[in-house]
Amino acid sequence: MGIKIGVLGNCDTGAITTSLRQLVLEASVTPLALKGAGLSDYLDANLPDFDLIFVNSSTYVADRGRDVDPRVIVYPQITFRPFHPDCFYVWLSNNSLIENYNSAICVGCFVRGLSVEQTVSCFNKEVYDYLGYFSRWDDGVKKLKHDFEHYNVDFTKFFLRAKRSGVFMHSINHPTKDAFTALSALLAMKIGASEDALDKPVFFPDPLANFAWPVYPEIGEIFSAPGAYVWLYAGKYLGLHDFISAEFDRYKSKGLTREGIRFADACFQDKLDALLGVPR
Amino acid sequence: MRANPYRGLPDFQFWSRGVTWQAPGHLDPMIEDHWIKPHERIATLGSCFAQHLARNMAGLGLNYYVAENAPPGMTSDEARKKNYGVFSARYGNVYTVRQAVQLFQRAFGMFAPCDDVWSVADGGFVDAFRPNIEPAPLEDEATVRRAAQSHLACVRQMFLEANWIVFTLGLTEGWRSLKDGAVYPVAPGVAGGRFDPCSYGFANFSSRMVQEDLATFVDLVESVNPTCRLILTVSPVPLIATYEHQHVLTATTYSKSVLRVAAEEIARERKNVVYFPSYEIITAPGVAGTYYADDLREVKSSGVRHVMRVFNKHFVEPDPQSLHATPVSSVSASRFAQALSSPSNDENSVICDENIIEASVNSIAR
Repeated sequence: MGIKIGVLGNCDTGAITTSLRQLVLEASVTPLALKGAGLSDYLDANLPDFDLIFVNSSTYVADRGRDVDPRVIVYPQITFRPFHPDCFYVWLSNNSLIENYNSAICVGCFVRGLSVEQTVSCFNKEVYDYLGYFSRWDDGVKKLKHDFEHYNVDFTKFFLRAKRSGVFMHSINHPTKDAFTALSALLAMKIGASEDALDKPVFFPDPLANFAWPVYPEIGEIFSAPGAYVWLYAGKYLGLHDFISAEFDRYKSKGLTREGIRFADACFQDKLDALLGVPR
Repeated sequence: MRANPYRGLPDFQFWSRGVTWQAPGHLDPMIEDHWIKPHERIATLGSCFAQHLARNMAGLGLNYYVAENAPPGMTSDEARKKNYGVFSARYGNVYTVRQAVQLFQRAFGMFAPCDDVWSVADGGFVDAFRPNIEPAPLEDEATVRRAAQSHLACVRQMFLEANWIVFTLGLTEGWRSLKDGAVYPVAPGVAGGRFDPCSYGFANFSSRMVQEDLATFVDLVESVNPTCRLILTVSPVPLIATYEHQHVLTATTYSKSVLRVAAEEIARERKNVVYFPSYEIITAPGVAGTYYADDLREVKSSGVRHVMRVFNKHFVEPDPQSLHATPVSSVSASRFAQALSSPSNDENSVICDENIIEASVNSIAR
């Protein structure tokens, strides 16, 4: 009987599980979910059933205090912003997230009182240039490299393979199938698979394609990648104007204000103030 | 003294830093800037790929020089059909360096080919050196020659007045007259004329011949326009067909290699010649062929735009009035109300004499 592997990830659990099943045929691979439990308790309860469990670093970081069992292999969460520099998480002042992704320009314009039409006009090359959207690459690579090295997964092998596939992210933290395949191969290599794993065909539907953020055409241009202003929004595909309208309706219902929101990067609000003006 | 001669060399000299780790779309094999001043006239000639460069010059804010303009009163549609503005003069595609030398020589009365007009099977006559320049054949030989004289006057003006000439080297294969060595853009019989093995012969110019021709061309331009600078680039578009008994891929590799070597040699020797790496940008391993269309030959607009980004970076001086230099307080949302324009459908279309080789063969096969 082969080894028993558990995969405790987040939105990547399915992709990693399916890939490992194909890359390590002799293993039995089971997807796991925390379901509200703390990692320590969860591992205490489940480790006896497995030879090893792969744990996504985002889950691991949430419970860092515990000395993790050697049967736990933490792998890095793939987060990469350069293809989607306008895609942000935004927090309310009570530290709750405005659900899912937000366009920084869109939310920035809303809380500064700009109209939908004015906001549409802000989606252009000059604004992106001003906000530094064209120069995110080096930082993005540096951060991802740090994350991979921290969890002892070969960054060079992952990144060069993923980069060859073009835009390897559907959003800032949703990798494409190609990126998942490369990461899964490296995880398989950690438990004894040969380097051939990187070149093995792995079959599964691109799991996060429906949770994508568009690559804006002007951003795509610098990467020689196709871009479009098309969002999948509540089951419908929306163009730029309709997307902004829908987001404005959502923000209105939440009563968002300039002072009532914050970005992970505190300086970003100042940049938006300088660009769009400070609401009176 | 450095223990290792490679220590301290710039990133671009190392494959890992210059190529492997470059972001997609960011490969930039050009290592020096050569600013073209906004008022300087920039002319283009060469193979099909040269049209992409020509089309984008004005868009970069450069003074794209057209010496042969449509006559007053001609509609823009008619002018387009007659190939005005495709290149700086209406010479059509100049694929080989020998063609470029002879174009200059014809323009300055140094060469008068004996076989310059071809009859067309369905009636009419064409200029043997630009058989597709008119939408339909002209009625008689004299009309063709008069048009050629008028055209060559514009070519002369172009060589005399251009500050920069961008020459895209396309092919080493060509067809020439056995009487006087005149080289044609396409074989006789393809777009006019009749192929007669006693009158015409195939030529695949050797590395030495192309280097000599390129040196001659540079000398000729310099002789009439000493301050003119030349930008040489090699077309990444493969041969549509080879007449060599050889696979078209190996023939393409030979042809492009010869042109690349010739461009490199002359750029090293002459101060007024710069090499621009279009070929490398489109064919780089990191791109994995994605800049080629599905026929694996035509270059897609994404590839052309990458080439133009690199051209822009190294030949067009940055505008100091760019947004980065603008005081933040003066920036307002209304400033950004620019239209989001999408490229037109025919952005990538080019007129390519070479394409009619395959079309003509197919029509015979039917």
